[in-house]
Amino acid sequence: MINLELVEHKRFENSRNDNWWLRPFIQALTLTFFALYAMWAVVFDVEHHKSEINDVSFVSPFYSPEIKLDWWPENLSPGLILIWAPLGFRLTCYYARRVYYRAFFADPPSCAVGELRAVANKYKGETKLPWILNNLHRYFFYIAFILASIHVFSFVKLIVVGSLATMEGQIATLLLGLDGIFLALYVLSCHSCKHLVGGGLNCNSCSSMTIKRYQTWKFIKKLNTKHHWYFWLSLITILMADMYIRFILAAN
Amino acid sequence: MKDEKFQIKLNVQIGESLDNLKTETYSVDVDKKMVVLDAVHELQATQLPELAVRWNCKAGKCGSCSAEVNGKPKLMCMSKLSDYNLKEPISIRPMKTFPLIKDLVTDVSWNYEVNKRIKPYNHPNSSEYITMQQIDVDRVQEFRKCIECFLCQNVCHILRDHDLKDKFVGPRFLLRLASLNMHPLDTENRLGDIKDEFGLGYCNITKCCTEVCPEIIPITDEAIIPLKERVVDEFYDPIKWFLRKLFPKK
Repeated sequence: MINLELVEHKRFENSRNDNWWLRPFIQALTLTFFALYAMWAVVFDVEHHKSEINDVSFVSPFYSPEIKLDWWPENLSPGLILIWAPLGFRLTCYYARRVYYRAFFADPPSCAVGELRAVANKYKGETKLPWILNNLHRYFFYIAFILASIHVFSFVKLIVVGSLATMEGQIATLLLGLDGIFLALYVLSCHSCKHLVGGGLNCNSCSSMTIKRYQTWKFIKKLNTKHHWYFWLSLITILMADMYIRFILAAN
Repeated sequence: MKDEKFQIKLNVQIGESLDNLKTETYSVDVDKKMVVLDAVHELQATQLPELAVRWNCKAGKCGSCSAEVNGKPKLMCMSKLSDYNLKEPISIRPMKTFPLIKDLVTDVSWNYEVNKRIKPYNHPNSSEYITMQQIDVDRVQEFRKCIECFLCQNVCHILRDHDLKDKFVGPRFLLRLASLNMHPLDTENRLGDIKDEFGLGYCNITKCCTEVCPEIIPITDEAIIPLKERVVDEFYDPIKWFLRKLFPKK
């Protein structure tokens, strides 16, 4: 029997001749910017999250839906009441996991590129805390589904109450509409949603109900192939809608 | 019309043990319709007759000529020279994850040993003739496209960098497990093994296996993540657990 050896592992070792570091680098920068902006918007700049044009209220997506709790401490931002839910949904999202494991933990930084920590060989993946908590993704999905529905409903309500009367209102409505649409697409195209609607079935032809579930699964599967796009587009539209609402306040 | 020949440089790793590994650059005559495997064969025919390279069908269906071309795991027979910048040398290395035998040939036998550990398909105990519908096997059929080139195993960082071959079976075998687990007739329950013995939890879904698959099988989205969701159903979802207790299967 031949005793064969494996090639030794070195940090970031690779023989790629392309810019493999560029994508994780840009993604890390974008997510860091978004995280810092969201923290500033939700924790520190509480007063400017809502603007009124012609008696129509435009609420920043970070604070939507607005919830008032009597026992909530006055010195704590009301944005914190619900922010854990979308945050948890995004952190446990299968696509986001791919992005942050690559971009922030270099685990791996890119395909066929050596890792930062491989030398230590203490990798546990998602078998131990904290990453095993990613298995809770479906619970965040349930809440995110309700939140996305509220964002879409708020957008429709804005049009009904006359938000399109002014130019500023039209732009704010458009941005909040895009936020609602992309958030809904991001949530509906989620892998957990795909599994729950029909992915868990083995016999799709067994009854009329399983056939319907199979057809829904096929539709969600189509959306799921664009899940990464909806992830980024929903981030960008949340950011733009929040910025514009603050801009209206500052301009007036 | 005959294609014009021109020269390219191949940077090839040669040697059969870690002590005598070296990379050498050779100039090889090629034409623009060739694939990387043709260039390697030209090198073998004209300058390096002892070069070890594994190949078979040259049609992307046998999965033999897996290697790392310019650092990316590829089938050499499916890598067109016209896709590369031929002013620069093309680097060709063996698969890193598996032990080296010689030059571009590695020992992939570990994969066959893993395959033996998977419980085979278990047909229901029934004399009744069962007809399956196409909608029941759509998903499973896609997984059968796998040609066992082991590029996904090679690129998986859990095997490649962490060398956890004793704890994790790799994407190729998670794909096989998914095809068995999703089979409409199979009666074997493998979810416990998938979670513990085969190490599904080690996968952190970085999707490199899907990126390198020459058969374009959506390994992560259609096999690994659905398996993760099924494991959640069985082991991590308290509501499902409660419902199973309330309405046990007859």
